[in-house]
Amino acid sequence: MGRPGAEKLATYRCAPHVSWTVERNGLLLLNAGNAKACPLGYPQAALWELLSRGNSYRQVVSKMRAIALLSAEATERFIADTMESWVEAGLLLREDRDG
Amino acid sequence: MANISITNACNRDCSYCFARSPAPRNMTIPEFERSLDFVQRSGMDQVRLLGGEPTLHPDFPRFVDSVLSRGLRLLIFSNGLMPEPAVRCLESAPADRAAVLINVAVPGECRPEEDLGQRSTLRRLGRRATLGLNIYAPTVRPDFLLGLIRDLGLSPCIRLGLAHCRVDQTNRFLHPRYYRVVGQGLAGFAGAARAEGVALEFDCGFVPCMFPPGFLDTAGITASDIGLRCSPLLDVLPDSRVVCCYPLASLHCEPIPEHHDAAWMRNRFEARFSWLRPAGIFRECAGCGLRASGQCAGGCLAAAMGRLRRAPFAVSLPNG
Repeated sequence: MGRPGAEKLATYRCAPHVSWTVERNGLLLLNAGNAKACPLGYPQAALWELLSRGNSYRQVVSKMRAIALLSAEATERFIADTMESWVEAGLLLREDRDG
Repeated sequence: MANISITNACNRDCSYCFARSPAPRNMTIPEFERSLDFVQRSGMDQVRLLGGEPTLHPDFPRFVDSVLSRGLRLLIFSNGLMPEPAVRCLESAPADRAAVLINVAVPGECRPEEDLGQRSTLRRLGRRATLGLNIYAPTVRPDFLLGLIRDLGLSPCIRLGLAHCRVDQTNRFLHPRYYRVVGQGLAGFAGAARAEGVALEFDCGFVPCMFPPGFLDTAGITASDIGLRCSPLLDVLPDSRVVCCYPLASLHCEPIPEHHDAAWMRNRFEARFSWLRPAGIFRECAGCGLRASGQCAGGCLAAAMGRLRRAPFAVSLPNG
């Protein structure tokens, strides 16, 4: 049981066996676990790059807003939707917990 | 064909070698015979003996006899610094079934006695010997080989190899950023070789885009001849384990299968490393027409691995 009023957090981790290469037009994610490749164009590639560099969620939102020229709300929605799609693709692992 | 590395002992210390091992080991006779069984079970008609320096194996002449007595053809990969019994053994082997590829040292990069030793072996083996050169830096040029072929009466063929990295990149290797410089140089050299009637063979890892436009057509080589050379070769190591190829050796190995053949094993290795195939050695590989049309595999997998990034990142988001 979490503490009353504690913020719920979803932690996303890079799945083991996932690596990537920088390509001319984005990134290519390679999953040795399922032998699948996932090319990322803009702006998804920018999001993966920011995550891989260890930025916090707030930093990612701030930088993605500057990159994608979206509102704060739209940026957060984009990040959440994109990361969920990566969870479905086996590229990220999601763990829910109380903050 | 199959590569059987019968020893990892060597009498040279080439900086680019991807087969060096801290603990030299010689393949035993039963292990060698089991390797030959595997070769024959796979329907292959040629055995290639590698090292280390394979002629240093104390049973080298016996191994040669064993290969030839099974009706197989033989190709030895050597640095040319052979013990006398090995040279005599190869001199007396039937020339149409036993050949030697001698990877020569670049002038100035070996000791004088090594240079003399190589020349002595080459002179004695004559047309049984084909020259090979491993290009480990853009400054390594094959031009001097034409003089050796002419002066020593060697087979009019040169096998060119790119020094590939081990996945741990602990050896000296030719970085793909230099491939186009090397390709330009080789295109010029090919003209001189052709003029002397010397054929060029390209080992694995070359890519069509490293050569200047028009070169492949002029040389009568198709893009896929060059670009599809990266596939599981199957190298049998001195301890009789099988690896996909030497550069990828540290990633995965398997024992020689009791009942299956090389095709079965190649499929296993191909499946094991298939996830890497979409990455090529260059950033431009992903959008390359030659790859899309199946004429190029994107170069050496070990070099492609050198481009991989990994980071165990984690980020927490407010949930809901």
